[in-house]
Amino acid sequence: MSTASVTKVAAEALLGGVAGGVYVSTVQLEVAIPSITPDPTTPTGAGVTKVAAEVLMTGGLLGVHVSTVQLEVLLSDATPAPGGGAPAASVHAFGYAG
Amino acid sequence: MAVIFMDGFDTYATADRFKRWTAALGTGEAASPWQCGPAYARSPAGQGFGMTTGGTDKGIYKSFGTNYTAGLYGVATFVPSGSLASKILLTVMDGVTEQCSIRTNASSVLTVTQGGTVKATGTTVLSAGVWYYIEFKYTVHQSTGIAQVKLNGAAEIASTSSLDLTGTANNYWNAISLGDISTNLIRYHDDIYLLDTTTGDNTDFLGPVRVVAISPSAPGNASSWTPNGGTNYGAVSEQYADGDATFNQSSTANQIDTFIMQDLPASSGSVYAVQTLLTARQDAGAARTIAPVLRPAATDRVGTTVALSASYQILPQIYDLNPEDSAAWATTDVAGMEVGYKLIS
Repeated sequence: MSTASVTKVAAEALLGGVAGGVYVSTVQLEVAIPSITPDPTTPTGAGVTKVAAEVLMTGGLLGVHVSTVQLEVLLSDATPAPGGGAPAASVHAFGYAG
Repeated sequence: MAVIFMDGFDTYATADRFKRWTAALGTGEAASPWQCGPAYARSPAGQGFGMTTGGTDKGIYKSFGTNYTAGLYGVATFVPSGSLASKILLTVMDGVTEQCSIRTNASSVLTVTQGGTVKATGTTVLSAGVWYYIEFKYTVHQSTGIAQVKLNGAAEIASTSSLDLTGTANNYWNAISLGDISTNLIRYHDDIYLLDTTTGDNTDFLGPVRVVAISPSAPGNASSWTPNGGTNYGAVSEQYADGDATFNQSSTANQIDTFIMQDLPASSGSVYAVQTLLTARQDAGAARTIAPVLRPAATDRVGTTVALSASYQILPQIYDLNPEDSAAWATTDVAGMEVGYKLIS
């Protein structure tokens, strides 16, 4: 079976009044800044003056208005009323228009 | 369809005359318009259409947007005073150019003319202060034109053929006028009908006729639309359209209103045709369409769909036959019929 063999071990140490090594693990910076009190006349933050939205959609289907309905009837002039004209309306105040 | 136009002048005010007629013929009409009113009506009631001041360039015309080779133009005519000699009464046109006309000659007798040339002459001397019912049947052609005239239902000018009845290069007509661009006389008209005599069910002389207008008088089978006040039938039953003062509104397709209508005059004669008149508009937005509805019995008979505009239009639709049975109208058909409209889209 194989074996490990060590032929030499050496260590050197320089000892004396020399500072040890420095490790820098983290760098941070704290900055002291002056405190700011918001002034409403000179806003320092973001301002929003208008909000708008556009929507792409099908055309608006709004309503239809019907103001008047009438029926015109093309009649023969074969039935004159007394006096020579066609009879007056039988029931409605608006009457018939001849 | 053979009846292509009818107007009793009873359903609209003077200001709306160009919702039924196309435009003035000449510039004189604007200064002294043709008037709708009872004073110009043929007896016994309703309204007529009167040119109330004489002068030039005072015609008014109706354009149809379709070319016809033949037609029949009937209208009641009254001249209140003065001479009827040498006047243009009725004109058949291609665009706004005369094809042929009915004029009186120097003896106040009816003539058929083209460009002032007499093509045929009647016999009856016309007088002021008398209503006449004039019917002019014509075929517009450069060499085989035909003209025939009846006065109060009786023969006045026998059918005359081989005429040149064209003022343009076209053998057709597409408009008619009352008065024209020339010197006119004060006159009243009423009860107009116009036929395309080449097709349909009314293709020959109807004789003196009346165009009677009736309006909604009570709710009918359906009242789906929303009135802006009052009742549905009340909102649309005024004699003159009142715009957005009273109206019914809908934005829901397939909604229908129908109405029981006023009675016809007692003992009315034959019914040749009926015409629905809807005064309607749409709000701004996508295009809307509407159709008239006749309900002669228990089924809604929906007419031809028409487009709308943002301003009120008068939308006419003529029925030569009863859509219930595709037969000629009877007075009882009209008496029992509801009329209304349907929102198509």
